[in-house]
Amino acid sequence: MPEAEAAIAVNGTYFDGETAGRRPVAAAIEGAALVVRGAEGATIAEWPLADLRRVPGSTRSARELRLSPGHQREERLALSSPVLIADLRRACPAIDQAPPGGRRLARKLLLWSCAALAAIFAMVFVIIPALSDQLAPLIPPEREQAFGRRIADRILTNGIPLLGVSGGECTGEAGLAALRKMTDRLEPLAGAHLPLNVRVLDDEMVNAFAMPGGEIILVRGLLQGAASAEEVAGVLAHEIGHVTAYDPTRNMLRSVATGAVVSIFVGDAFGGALLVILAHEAINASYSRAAEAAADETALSLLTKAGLPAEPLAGFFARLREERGEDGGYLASHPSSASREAFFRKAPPPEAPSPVLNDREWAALQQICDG
Amino acid sequence: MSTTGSSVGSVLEPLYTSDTPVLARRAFWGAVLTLLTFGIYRFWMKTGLRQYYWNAIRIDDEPLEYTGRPVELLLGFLMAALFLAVYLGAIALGFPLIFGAATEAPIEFASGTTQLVLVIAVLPLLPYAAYRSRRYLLSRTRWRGVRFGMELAAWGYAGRWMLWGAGTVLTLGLLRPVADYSLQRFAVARMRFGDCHFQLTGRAAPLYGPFMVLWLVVVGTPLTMFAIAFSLDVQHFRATGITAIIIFMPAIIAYIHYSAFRLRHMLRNLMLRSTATDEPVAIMSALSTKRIILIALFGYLVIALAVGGVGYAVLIAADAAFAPEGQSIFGFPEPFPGPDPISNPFLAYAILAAPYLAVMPLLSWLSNVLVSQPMVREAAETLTIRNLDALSAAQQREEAQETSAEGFADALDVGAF
Repeated sequence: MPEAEAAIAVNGTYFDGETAGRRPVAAAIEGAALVVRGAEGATIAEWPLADLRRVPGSTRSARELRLSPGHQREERLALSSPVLIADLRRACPAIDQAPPGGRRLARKLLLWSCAALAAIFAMVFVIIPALSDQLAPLIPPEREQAFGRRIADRILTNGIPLLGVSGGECTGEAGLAALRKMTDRLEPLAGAHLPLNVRVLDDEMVNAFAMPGGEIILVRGLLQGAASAEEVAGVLAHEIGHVTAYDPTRNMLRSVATGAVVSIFVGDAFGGALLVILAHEAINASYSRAAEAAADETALSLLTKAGLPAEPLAGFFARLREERGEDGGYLASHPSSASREAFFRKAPPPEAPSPVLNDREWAALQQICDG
Repeated sequence: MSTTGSSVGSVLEPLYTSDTPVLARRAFWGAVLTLLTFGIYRFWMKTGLRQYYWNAIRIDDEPLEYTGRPVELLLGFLMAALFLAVYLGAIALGFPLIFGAATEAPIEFASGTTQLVLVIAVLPLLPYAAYRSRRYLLSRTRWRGVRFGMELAAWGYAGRWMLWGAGTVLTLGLLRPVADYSLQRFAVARMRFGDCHFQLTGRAAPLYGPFMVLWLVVVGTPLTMFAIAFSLDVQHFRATGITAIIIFMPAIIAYIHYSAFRLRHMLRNLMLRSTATDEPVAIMSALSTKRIILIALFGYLVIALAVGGVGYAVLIAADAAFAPEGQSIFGFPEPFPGPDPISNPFLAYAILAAPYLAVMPLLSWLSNVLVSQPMVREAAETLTIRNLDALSAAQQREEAQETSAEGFADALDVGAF
């Protein structure tokens, strides 16, 4: 009798997967199976060695092993005999295999991924732009003005650090008077939904910006690099074109909404910020190419109505092309300089040209930042 | 204190068996892969970490088993994100177009009211997501081979959450412990182990001691800030990082204290009742709020120093390595003499992103090893379970279909417990 008991020395705990009761058992490898016997010697289970799997996530140690007779099965066996564990690992090389992915799950995953992708594309490229187009003209002018004023003031004070633009507003009195004269020639013809506020930023960059609320900023580098006052008037007309088309407000609405949607999809902070920035840049670029072309058309019609030549603006783009080289491609936010040069070059000159500024005023505008 | 009718039977203390190198490795490399895959790997990382924590908690020498699959999480997330995009998009687009046209001032309506409508539209989804997320977690947890589970009542829970939430707002937060306890009672009563029922007994009243301290400190903090701002020269008052931490420290400590106290109170009132024999299994907790506060303060101090130091060092190194000659991310325009700011915006983004990429894995590693694991250990090892044998008769339950898994919770960023 003592010998019979020694043969079934308890070396594990068995859970039948139907109740939470525990049974002390003796497990042993017999042929190609693991045989589990109760303390009284009766066989409880006989599992093929090839099917045995370690419970996912359970300890992977030489002194402890938790088994199931396959990932789909409910039974569990906890073993604590190092000898048996070592034998099992030798006899069943697949014991640590993770549960298979499953074809049904994979197909479902693919389907939902496609649907989610389609939804995000519809949101970002159709719904949000349509919504921004609808809402941009509906924002009350006072609110738009207050908002745009805040942005413009911040740029004039702090510059745009990421673009390497330093801050500082230019307030030369004679220069401001010249700028007002130039603006007054174009503004009444544009019919913008709110009054313009044109100011000059003290930086050497050749650039100009339109912001919500009719705020326009010309940069000193543009004024000093221009060959004539008509060239500056052309750039100003282009920025006015953005204002009358509600471009800055629309862009603002779109970028806020796009950011919100993309951040839902990307989830938490992990890596998401970078993806949001990249997606946003790409989406913005594709929309702004169309907006730039439209603003060019508005500029041309404004210049024509004001009796100003478009030729100098063509010269501006020619110079820009020489200085920066031809920038373009899918991610470029503006149409190519060459096509814009050609667009303004082919416009007929005005019949009775009258200069936008006299020589003294032009010199004052160019020196608006000295003082 | 829990009231146990028949407290005869065994008394048992769960164990927490840590394997810190495994945890650190999973937390660190999981974060690295999550960054490299733009967030997709987080479902695999989460599953790996849960397997670790579940397996570390041993009750009667039998560890908990986590059977959730990363693919389930990914699928659930896609479904939830899809639903949210369509749902919120439809509301944002449809609401002003349908109702805006009928009013005098369409835009006032469109901007202000649509935002309000969006918030109201999302609000019931938060408790819904939290309930479904808890249900998913329980349905993927086993002990002794038997599944945990939770009845389907997510909308009932969300409705009660909205009502209690309104009451809490109207009472300036004072109703919070009662609301919280009542909602927990509702949720816990629907939790199962096999065919055994969980139950939350007791009342919310004992929570009011620590809660009132928290409430007074939270109300008092802005008052202190104003007092400091006015006693100093208002013009020159700048809330620097250190000042802000000192001002908010009492509120932070009061919050951790309340959370730990609340957890202990609820654990002490948690009960499991066998369906077959109606015998209760009672739980007792000796969780030390002081220890939880110390773990949090020490852990987050070390993390702040390490993450701040490494982040700053990487930023300087990236700036030195990639910024063009004479330019710097630290460029100051006049009147500070210094290098020019970087002119290429993409390069500037890249340099600013470098410390972020370096710090996230470090943060994940340290917060798991220094905060999460010690807290789980403290919570698990201070438990006492009385009459566990009553559970032996628990019958297995079917695995719940949780197709959306924790998708809503993930997309809306709410926790399960």
